[in-house]
Amino acid sequence: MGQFWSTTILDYFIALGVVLGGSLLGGVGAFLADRAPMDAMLGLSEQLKIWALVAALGGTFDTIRAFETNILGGQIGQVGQQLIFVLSAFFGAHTGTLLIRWLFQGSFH
Amino acid sequence: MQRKLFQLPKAPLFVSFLLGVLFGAIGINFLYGHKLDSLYLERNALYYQTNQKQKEINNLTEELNKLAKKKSDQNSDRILKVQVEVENDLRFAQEEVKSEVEKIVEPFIGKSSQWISNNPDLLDTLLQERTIEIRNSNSNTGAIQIQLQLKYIAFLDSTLKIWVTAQERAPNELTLE
Repeated sequence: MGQFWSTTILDYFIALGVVLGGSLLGGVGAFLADRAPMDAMLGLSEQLKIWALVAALGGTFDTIRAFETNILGGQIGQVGQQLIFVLSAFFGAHTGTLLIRWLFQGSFH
Repeated sequence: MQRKLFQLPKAPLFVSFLLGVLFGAIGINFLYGHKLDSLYLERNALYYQTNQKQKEINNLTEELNKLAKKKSDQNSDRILKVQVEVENDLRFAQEEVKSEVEKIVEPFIGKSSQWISNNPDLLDTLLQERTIEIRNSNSNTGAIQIQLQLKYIAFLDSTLKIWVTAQERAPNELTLE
């Protein structure tokens, strides 16, 4: 498996793990803090999406810098790769949110 | 060295225990999360209802206080008690004169103090040169005639205070009448 695919899969699962782990442990924390755990988990799964994306990509500035370097250097292929990494991380985070919703609400909506 | 050997097997055990606690907590959350959420919602609803009831109680208490104040204001305008002060030289008939005057002015109890203060001549007319007969054991005649005269009136909340001058009438005065 090439470097590109392994990074894509890694980004997907990192984002998924951030959302799932953050929400599940956040639910335990919410229970300890005298708040409704399910409601807290659903809220956290939405709030953590953007942070999961950032964590998977290894920091916003690096990605933006890579975009800048590649665009200015005329390497459009590299720009496309970076976009796929971002999309992969986004889908990972979104899958995490959907899973939490499905687990607690019984539906994806 | 001995300490390290002793700690090494314990460290993974402790971490495993912590992870077990976390996974167990997550599992319990999965199992009882819905029930917990509904209990929290019920608790919030109960808090809200309790607050509403507390507000209602506060409003009713305020209303009750207002009504009590209004009632007390209404009563304060009425004469509930008459206090009589007698100015005379008779040493032994003071209490008898007081009770006789109290009997005379008894119809004023329950009347508005404002009405009496606007018409003080009513009291004056009632007591003007009025003669009362009092049985006095210290007197040789047995009964003495006392002439009353209204001096002052005053209102103390719901009490009507009357100052009366009482003079013993001479026997010849009695025969003239």
